[in-house]
Amino acid sequence: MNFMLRQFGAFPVIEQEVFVADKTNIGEKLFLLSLETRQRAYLPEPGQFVMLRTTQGLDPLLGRPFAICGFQGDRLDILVAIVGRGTRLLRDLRPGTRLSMRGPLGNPFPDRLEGNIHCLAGSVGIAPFLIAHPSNARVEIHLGVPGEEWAPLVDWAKGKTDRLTVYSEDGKVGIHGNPLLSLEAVDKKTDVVWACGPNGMLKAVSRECGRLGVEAYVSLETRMACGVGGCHGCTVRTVGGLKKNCTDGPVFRAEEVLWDEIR
Amino acid sequence: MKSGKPVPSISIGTVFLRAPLVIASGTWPHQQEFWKGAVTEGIGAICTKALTLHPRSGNPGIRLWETPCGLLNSIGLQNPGIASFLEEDLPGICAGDVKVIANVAMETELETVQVLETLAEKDRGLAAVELNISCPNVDRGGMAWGSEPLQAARAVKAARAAWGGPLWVKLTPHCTDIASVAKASEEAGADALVVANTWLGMAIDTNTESPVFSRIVAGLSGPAVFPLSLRLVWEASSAVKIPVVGCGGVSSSEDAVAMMFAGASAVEIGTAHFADLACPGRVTKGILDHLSAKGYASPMELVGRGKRSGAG
Repeated sequence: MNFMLRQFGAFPVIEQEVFVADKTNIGEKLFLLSLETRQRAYLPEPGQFVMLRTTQGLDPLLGRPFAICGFQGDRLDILVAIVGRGTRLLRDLRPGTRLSMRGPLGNPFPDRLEGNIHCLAGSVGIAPFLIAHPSNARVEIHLGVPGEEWAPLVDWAKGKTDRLTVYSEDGKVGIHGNPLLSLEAVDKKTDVVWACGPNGMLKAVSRECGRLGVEAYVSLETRMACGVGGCHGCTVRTVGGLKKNCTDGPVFRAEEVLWDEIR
Repeated sequence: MKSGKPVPSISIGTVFLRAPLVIASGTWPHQQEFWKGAVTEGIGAICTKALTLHPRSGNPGIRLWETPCGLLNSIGLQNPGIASFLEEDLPGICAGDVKVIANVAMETELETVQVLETLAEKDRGLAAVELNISCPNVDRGGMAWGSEPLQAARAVKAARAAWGGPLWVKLTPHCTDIASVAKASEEAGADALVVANTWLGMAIDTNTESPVFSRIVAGLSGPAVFPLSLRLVWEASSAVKIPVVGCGGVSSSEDAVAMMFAGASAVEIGTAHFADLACPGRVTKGILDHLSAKGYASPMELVGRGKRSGAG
């Protein structure tokens, strides 16, 4: 039985109207969207996502998956990278605008309840780890960004967590390099690696953790139409066969994923 | 004006539906929890994922691409095969409280007959079989079967011989003439027609400078195709006596009512349901509201009403 069904018993998924409570621009590439929910589903866990859809008209038509990066009371926060028309529309919404939200959906990163949780984030991929940090003293976050144009994200993240180490490819923000550099310090007996970011980065994390013998979990990003296992649009090929990213993932054991098939 | 509260139920041949709305194939999870209770409100029946004799892993690469008011998909009939479906999925979904329609993808005649004979033998209360002669996302079989009347008749005849229960045939928009394919399917033994499946399209990613989908082409669905499908429903239903189920872009009760005016006895919903899980309940309620407002007792009174002036 998957996670959703455990949570909701007879009703398999919650879809509800939510309202834009607040929006905070984080530089020009990102913004934080705070949503006011009417029906608090349950406490979201790191790695879970929601399908968010604008309800004005039929274009855009479908919801888009977004990782949850925080919650407080009836408020739920998502970190949005502006990548296309849909995310630009979200950025331009006024407070009070109604949206449709499905979820939380998907399976969270599993905690072994011992050792450190070594989080590797690629830019906006930091979102799930910001939920993990406040409630878990064993979490450390290693954030990689391309360069100084991402400094607003770094500054914002520093305000959210004191356990952040930053890396940049151009060396102008934090340590010169990428978060994989931190893996040498992982204790393979007790620690676990959680990773979220572009699929290319996750593939590299998987390869490196395999070499070091470290247990690693990755959160994969795919296109989705429904988020509940209906459309088969988000299929991921794994050593255990075909999986649905929405209901079997989005978090997978790194060694389980057939990386050559991931685009 | 007639008195009394209208009821939403309708019969497609011998198949009684509590509401004139069917969930289209390939859009709904096979988990039992999605086939009962509140999520099935307003739904008359649910079509399964397309089934094939052997498991199919579906198409590699990107499978979804949203377009203005539409969705291109290239899933490629991913399914666990008939044996696994019968063992793992069917018992659970048949125990729900909504009718089950098994969508069977037309492969070779031999394979399809084997699937249908297996279904007939192990049937646990399927409401109907929907023979899919219209999938645009496979290299072999698929919509080639529905592209012209002779092939369609051959497919339906083979299926008819192997399956004694209600047989719906899902047609493709990509045929020489929908009226003649509809007629040929009726004469070969179809009990109802589903008009239609997705429309062939494609997308090019301007960043990668190449086609998005590994098979290049994909099937377009969603509100964008509604007027195209409506025209097919009008033409197909004018050519046959058996019921027609309209499918293609329905996203509101207005669409559903319009499709019934064009000759559909019920409608299928797929892409709109991805966007809004409450869509079937909303559409069925809207149909009832329309019946009440006009003083109709049943959705039957809507079927083909748009043709009463003789325009058809």
